Amino acid sequence: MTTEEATGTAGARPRGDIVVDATGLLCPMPIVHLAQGMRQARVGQVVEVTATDMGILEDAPAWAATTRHEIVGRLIEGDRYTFWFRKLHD
Amino acid sequence: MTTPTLDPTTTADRPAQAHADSVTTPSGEGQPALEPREPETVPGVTIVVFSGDFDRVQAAFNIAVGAASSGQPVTMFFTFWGLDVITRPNASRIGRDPLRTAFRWMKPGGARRLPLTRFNFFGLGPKLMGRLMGEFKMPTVPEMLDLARSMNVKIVACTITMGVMGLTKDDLIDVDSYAGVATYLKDANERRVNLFI
Repeated sequence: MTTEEATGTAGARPRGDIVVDATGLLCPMPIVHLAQGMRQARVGQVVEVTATDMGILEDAPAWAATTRHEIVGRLIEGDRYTFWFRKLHD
Repeated sequence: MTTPTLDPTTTADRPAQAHADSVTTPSGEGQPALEPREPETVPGVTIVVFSGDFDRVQAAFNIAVGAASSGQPVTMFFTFWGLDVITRPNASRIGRDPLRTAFRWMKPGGARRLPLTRFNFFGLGPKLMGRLMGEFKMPTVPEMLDLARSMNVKIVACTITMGVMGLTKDDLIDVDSYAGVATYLKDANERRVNLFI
């Protein structure tokens, strides 16, 4: 159970411009909701997604690589996994 | 949707080959039509949904919806038993001859009625599996179908197997096209991931 630093500001939990709750959802739904959140965001904004399916640990980086967006933070709290993505393009 | 184009970066990757093509093609020797220049592939998926088994179809939709969520073009080509998925639940059970009518009764189709590959137990298996999936909030096949359509996944019905199974356009849900192998191959040639399920 490791906790890693998220975006910059130590201590304070950063809040994404768009927050996606994908807890309780299974593959492929977290990615579907993440993609919907990313569509709502403007370029440069941060989308935050939290999931409880541990597949997200691999799927989030894979999705970021495929869609060429940037992961700027990751936080693991027990079985809750949160990722922050910066939208790099439309 | 992304359409493959001859963008300058791709051609610049292999200028010698591009040049060689332009030199040899006009001379007209060898097989001219069979081997055109390499198609420009883009990230994207085609899936031949041959199976009408609930579990296999579920996997097909997972991949389709996942790829669509990554902004990739996706084509799902439904053929043979896969046509059950896109058959209207209230489709006619009258075929144009007795054999096809018998077929329609044996395989009424509909995304809600798909059997499991294993542990089907005359329909009990899928019901139990559905309950388990419900506990995990997993979308059902009809929900996945709607989701895929809302994400512009291209749904293609195979006309040849429609004929074999005695299905008409009226028996199917609204699809993007009714087509054959050439349509599938055109998309498959342009995509990097091509699956047969």
